Amino acid sequence: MPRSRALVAGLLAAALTAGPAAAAPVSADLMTVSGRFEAPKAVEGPLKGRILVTAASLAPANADLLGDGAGKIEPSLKGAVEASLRNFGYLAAADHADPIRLTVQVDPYEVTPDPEGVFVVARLHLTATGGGADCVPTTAEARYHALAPMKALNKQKAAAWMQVIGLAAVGLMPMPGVFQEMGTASASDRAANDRRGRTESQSVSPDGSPKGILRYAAINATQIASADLIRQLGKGACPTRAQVADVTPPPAPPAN
Amino acid sequence: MKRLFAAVAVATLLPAAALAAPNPLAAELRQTMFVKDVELTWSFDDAKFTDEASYVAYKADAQQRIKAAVASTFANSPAGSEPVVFKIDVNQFSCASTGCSVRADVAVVQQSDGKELGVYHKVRGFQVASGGLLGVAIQAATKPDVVGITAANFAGTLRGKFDAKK
Repeated sequence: MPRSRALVAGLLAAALTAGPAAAAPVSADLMTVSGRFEAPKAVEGPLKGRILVTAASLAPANADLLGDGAGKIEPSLKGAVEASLRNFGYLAAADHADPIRLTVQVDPYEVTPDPEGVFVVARLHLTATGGGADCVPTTAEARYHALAPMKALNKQKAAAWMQVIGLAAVGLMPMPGVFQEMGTASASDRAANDRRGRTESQSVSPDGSPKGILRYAAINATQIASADLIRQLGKGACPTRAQVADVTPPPAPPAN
Repeated sequence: MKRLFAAVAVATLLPAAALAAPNPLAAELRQTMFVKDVELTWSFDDAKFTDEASYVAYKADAQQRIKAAVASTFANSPAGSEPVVFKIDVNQFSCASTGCSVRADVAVVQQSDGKELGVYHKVRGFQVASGGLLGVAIQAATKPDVVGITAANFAGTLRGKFDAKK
C-alpha cells in the first residue's frame, strides 16, 4: 500500500475509533492566542475589559481525540480562552460589577484526512449574556492542516541494524550503540521536518502516529478558531457604535 | 577534531552545573511575553577557520538552523501579549561530519523599549557520534544532519532553561 494511502486509512481509523490515548496533558498555551497573531486590541467600548468566561466545554468525542478526558482538557481550554481575551484587552476582572458572561462550546471536530496529513475544522459556539452581549459573535471557526512528519533519512537506522548483525556474528551485543544510532536517525528526521516551516494554518506534526497527527491538528485548529473570535471582536461594529454614543452632544447655541 | 571533542566533553559533563543556574526571568514575567523574533550574532573568534570551506558552510547553515529551531520551539509558548526578541550570541562553535557543538548566550529583550529582561548564559547544543570508533565510522558514512540535530538540541536546552521554575 503506498505510504499516503496508508496514512489516510490510519487517520480515518484514528478519527473513527478515537479513545483516550496516552498523551501529555494539553497545555493552555498551545490553544492561546498570543500577541504573535497581531489581532487588534480592544478599543474603548462595551467589550473592553468586560468579558468573563463562565464555562468552556468540549464534545465528548473531542476530548477523546485530544487524548484525555473532558474533565482534564476543559480547564485548559477555559484558561486558554481567558488568556487570549486578556492578551487583547477583553477579559473582565473577576470582580467586575457588570460583565458580559461568555460560554464556549467546541463542536465535534470535522476531520478530513488527505495524502499529506489531515485537515481539522474547529468551530466554537459562543453564548454571551449581559449588556453588550449582542456585540459578541455567536460562532468562530478555523481549519488547520497538520502534515505528517517525513521519515526519509533512514540510512542511520540501516547502519544500526548492520551493526547489530555484524557484531552478533562475532558474538558481541552492541545494544547501547544501536539505540544511540536510532536516536540519531530520529533526530535527523526531526531536523529535516523543521526545514518544512510553518504558517498560521499549517505545520508538521511532531508525532507521526495517526492519533498524534489528529491531536496536533485539533489543538491548532482550536487555537486558530480562538484567534478568529479575537479578530471578530476587534472588527465588530459595537465598539465604534459605543464610541459614537459616548460623545456628548455639543451644547445648543443660546437662543437669541 | 580535538576542539570538537573538547567542546562535546564539556557539554556532556557540565549540564548539571548549567541547569543549576537560576532562571533570570520570573514565571509571572515569562507568562506575559511571546517571542516575536529571534536574532543571532556571532562573537566566536573564528578568524583561523574562515578559509576552511567546510567551516564556512557549517557556520552559514548553523546560523539559519539555530534561529529557525528556536523560533519553532517558542512559536506557541509563552503565549502572552508583550513581544520579546531572543538575541542569541554564539561564542563557541565547532562542527564536522562526526559531530557538532555550539554554545551561546541568549538575551531576552523587550521589543517595545529594547530593555534586556534577562540572559540565559552558556546555552549549549551538540550532536556527537556515539559507540566509539565504530560509531564515528558509521556516522561518517551515513552523514546525519549534524547541524540540524545540534540546532534542535540547542533549542531544547534553551527551552529547558526558560521553563525552569527557579
